[in-house]
Amino acid sequence: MNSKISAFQFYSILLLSRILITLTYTPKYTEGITASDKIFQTLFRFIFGIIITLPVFLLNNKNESELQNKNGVFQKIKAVIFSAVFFYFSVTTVARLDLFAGTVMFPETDVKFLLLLVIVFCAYGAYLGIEPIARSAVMFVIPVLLSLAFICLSLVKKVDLLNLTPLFYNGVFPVVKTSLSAVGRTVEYAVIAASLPFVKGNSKKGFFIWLTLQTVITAAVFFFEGTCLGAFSNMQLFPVYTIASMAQFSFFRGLGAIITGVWILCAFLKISLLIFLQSKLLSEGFGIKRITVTVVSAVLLAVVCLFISGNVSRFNAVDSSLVKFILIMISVPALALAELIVKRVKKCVRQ
Amino acid sequence: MRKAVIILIALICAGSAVNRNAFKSDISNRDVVQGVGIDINADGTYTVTLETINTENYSNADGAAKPVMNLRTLHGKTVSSAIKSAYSIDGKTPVLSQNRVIVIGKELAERGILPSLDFFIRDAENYPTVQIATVEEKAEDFFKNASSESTVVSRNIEKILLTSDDDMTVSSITLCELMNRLESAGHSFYVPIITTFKEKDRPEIKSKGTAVFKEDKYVCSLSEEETASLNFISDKARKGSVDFNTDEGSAAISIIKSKTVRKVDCSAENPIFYIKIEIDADIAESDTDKEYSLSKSEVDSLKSYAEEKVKSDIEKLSEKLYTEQQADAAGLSRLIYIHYPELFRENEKNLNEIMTESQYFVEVEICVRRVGQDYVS
Amino acid sequence: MVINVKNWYRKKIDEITAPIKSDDEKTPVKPTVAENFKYLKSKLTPSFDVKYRKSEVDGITFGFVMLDGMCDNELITEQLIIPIMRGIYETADGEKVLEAAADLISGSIDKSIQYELNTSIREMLSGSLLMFVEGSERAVLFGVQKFPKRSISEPDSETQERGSKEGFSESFKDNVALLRRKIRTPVLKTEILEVGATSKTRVCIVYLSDRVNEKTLESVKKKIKNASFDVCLGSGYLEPFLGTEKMSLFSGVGSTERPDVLTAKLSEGKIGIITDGTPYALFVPHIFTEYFHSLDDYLKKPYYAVSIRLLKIAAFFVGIFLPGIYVAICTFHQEVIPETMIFDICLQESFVPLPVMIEALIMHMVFEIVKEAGLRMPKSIGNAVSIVGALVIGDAAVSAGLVAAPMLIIIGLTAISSFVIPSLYDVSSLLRAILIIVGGISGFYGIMLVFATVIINMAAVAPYGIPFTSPLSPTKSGAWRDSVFRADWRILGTKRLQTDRLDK
Repeated sequence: MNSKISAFQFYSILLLSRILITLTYTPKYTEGITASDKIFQTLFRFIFGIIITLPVFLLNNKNESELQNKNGVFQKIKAVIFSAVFFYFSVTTVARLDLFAGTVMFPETDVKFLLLLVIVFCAYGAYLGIEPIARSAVMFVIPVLLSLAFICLSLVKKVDLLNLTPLFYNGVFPVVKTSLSAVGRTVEYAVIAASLPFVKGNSKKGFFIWLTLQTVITAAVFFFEGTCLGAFSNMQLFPVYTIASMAQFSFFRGLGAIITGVWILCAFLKISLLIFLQSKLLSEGFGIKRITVTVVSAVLLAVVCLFISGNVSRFNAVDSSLVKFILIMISVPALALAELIVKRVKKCVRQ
Repeated sequence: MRKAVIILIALICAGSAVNRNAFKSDISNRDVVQGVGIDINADGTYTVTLETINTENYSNADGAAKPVMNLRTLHGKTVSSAIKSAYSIDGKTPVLSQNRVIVIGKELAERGILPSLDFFIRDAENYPTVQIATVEEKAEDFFKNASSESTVVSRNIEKILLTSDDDMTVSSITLCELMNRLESAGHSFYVPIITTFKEKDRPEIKSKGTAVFKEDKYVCSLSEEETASLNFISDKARKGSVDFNTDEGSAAISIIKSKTVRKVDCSAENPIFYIKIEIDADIAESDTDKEYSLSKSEVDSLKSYAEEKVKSDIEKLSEKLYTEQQADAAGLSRLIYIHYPELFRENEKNLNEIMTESQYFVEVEICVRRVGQDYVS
Repeated sequence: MVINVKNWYRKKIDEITAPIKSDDEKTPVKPTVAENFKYLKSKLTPSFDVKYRKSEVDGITFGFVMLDGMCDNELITEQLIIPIMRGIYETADGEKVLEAAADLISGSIDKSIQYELNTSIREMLSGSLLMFVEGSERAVLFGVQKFPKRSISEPDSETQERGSKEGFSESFKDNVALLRRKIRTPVLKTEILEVGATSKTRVCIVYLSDRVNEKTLESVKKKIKNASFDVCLGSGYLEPFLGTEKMSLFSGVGSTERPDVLTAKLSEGKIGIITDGTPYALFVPHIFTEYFHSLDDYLKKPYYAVSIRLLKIAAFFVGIFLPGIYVAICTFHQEVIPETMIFDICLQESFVPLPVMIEALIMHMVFEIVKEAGLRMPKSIGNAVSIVGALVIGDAAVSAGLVAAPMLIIIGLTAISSFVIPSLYDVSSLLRAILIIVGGISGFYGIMLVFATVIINMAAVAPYGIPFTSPLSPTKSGAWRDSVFRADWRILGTKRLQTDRLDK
């Protein structure tokens, strides 16, 4: 990333990326916990988020980043690991979008073509580079937040606090487990780990604001889902879409269309960013042309996603919370800690 | 730029070629469903009545569009297959996204409605806010009796059900609420009953109380007065009027605002439910021989009569629901779940028995806002 | 922590603006013509239209400075130069010669003696002839202005309610003169370049030297010099060379027919490019929000200007999205249609033999044909074409059942909306067609995807390092006072926007 982007732009992309995950969550991720637990677990997520990114911020503080060797073997290993993580997450993101389009939006239509269209457009976005992605994110973030606020406001009348549940009804462990699993599904931590050196401005402050905002948004979404739908939410594949479609403003009904728009905007940016990062990391690490990696990555993504498309059992097999958790743990705290140790050892040896 | 546009157009053209089904979902190729009636037959198959917009006899030369409806009676082993069979009649796929109401026939209500609703929960086009109603006959007959030229039965039903915000003798429930009640503590819910009547030879629709369901089966019906009490307990009563008798004649209050506070205390052997209803009301009518103006004592007297009336109605209803039918249609058991989760966990299976043995204390407080004429202090 | 919002916002404004200052420096007229010319050149160069002449009469040197295009050459020759050249001056004292020369000039020409050079320059830039005499520490200004007037007509594509009625014309010198009339300070620089191997068309670069970004200026010059074509018949030829190198719907080059608009752009540090033979001037860098600005915004109350700008933005989006969304709703998202409209739409669309997408495309095409025909035909026939078009597509098509009435309303509304910002018509027309197709194939899903792609494509445009999407993104809150919003002149007037600061 020769051209740096500001912390505000960077975290805007990440916020949209998180909003996408919040809006596309399915009840299988929160199995075993009740409505109030879902709201409460966002706090656990907040804490876990800080813990796992701590090594990354330590690594990127001034003293340590001076020691970074851009062409070392370690950087190549990092490039490969991060690229693999980003590829995997881009597959699950596209596959989830495909699942949504195929089941909720166009149940009567074959969505394979739409899938290809998304990948082609996202590859184009990735080809344009990080600056256009970042600028677009800043332009989208306010309308997206306003749309969410609008939907929430129009749902206030449907809130029934009796749909809330006793806290930790099934114990604390399922809540912690779900929170950890949610942290594992947060590819944004890996994005931070991979791109932090190239962000100008106060990254730590930005990170804290981003984490707080996404926690508030997720908690709000879970609150409205729990209080508006109650037990009905567990019967829905995409409960957030369901509550949005229940929202009504004046004679306008079916505000699910707004959510659809928000999803696609967020997904577009997220997939573009993930493809871009793969191309950037591999081109810097191995000297391959960025456009070549972009095209190869997009083609691979298309092949894998077409294989998954329209088959919910394949989707469930690929979209594994455990695999995601392991990948995030390796690519975020483990890799950062390892690099930190290597650097410290090198520093000691030199002295 | 030109290359990019050419590639894009080529992609889109290829897409439309691949996407053969695209125009099938065009509004002109779809049967826009406004209402669905479901009946179960003796052999366990379903009869589904679809009220759809009829576009066949429409001519644009007439000027403004007038609603002309179609009633389709379809049969199938499942609700899904019955609805899908509409396609074979006119080559149009039914679209449920504009569906306003699902009407359940009496027999189906008695046998259990859950299997018939499964399709509507799974179908992506159906809305969770669709209203559910039941009738005391076959849903098919209801639709036939209620239909007339240029009448949209489903829309009229929806309008009536939505008056529950202003008229507490009417109840309403959406698919989402129904399923939530069914899956929550108590596993009981209520569904409004609608009926038809003739006025100047024209069929009209009106609400006729509420049907109470335990698990997913119909157990009893509530009159309009009982429906008002149910709305009070459920904290759904907002507006309406209460008629009552005094020593000197009959009177009525008009409710402007109502709020129900529900609490439970499980510290004793059996749970005690406290239901406190706070009502802001006007004196709507007072048929006495006295002067038009009311004195403070007269207002207080009317107030206490009204409070007593609401209280006794609610007590009667709780007796009927919790003692006679053991059906928690008002959703009070949810309070035990929220405030005493351990007790709930221990007694989840025999919750209805606990609810039967519980005590229900009702307190009604009416604040009179206006008396209609002079207030003599 | 108490956040001082006022200070914060002031800081943000300072980041992208520069203080307004006027050059009030007093420089006395020098005793020699050469010195005076040197000073003037130092202030005015490069300005191709400033002409310097030296003449000697009886061993006395006279110096004349004038602005080509703004003076009456015939009058100068006959009433000024000839009398002065034929004059007999009995003294070598510069002061006396100056007075004698001034006395020779007819009384019908305004004369004024000047002691100070900067004021003289200002007056000369207004069309006066400035005369120096060797040995005199005074100068004389002669009022010989001749502004281009009759040929100047009201701009067709940028009509304003309260703004000036002057528009650029094909005459390149007239266009520069029009600018000179608006900016009477020496900071307005004009440079001439030539493009076109055969046509050798003159292109004038205009800018304000005290605020232009040197790198941008060099880049513009380089791009124009490198622009390769045989003949150049309009400013549009240069646009691709001056704009972004990335494939984009937007070029990052603005164009205007109005001298006042170009003046405003120059005052923000932008560079104007006037091509000989074209009544449109280009300017760079150009940002997206500028499409929604018009001179009238600045001439009316701010609250009205803001509402008009918001309306324009809404019209732009309506012009692009409405038919696509209608097609998407009728094809895939029938749930969105309000219950009161479902009957009308359902019934009206049911008798149309074509799918909604094809119907919309055909209507879009018919509209474009009618528009093109109306534009190219002579005005009298153009009106007839419009009437026939309106009748055919309006009434007959609906009665015949070829088009649904709601579709007609949609297309009509779209057409009107897209004309609110004529400079974006090409973009909105293309996008409209794409969105109709995409809406018919993939509903909101496709529409949002195309929208996102257009936004990212727009965000990639930054031809001179100034992002096309600035000040929205990158966020320059200091510039919001005149972007979608428009502050009062009492606030706007204190500081001017410095365009090159929008890049940071």
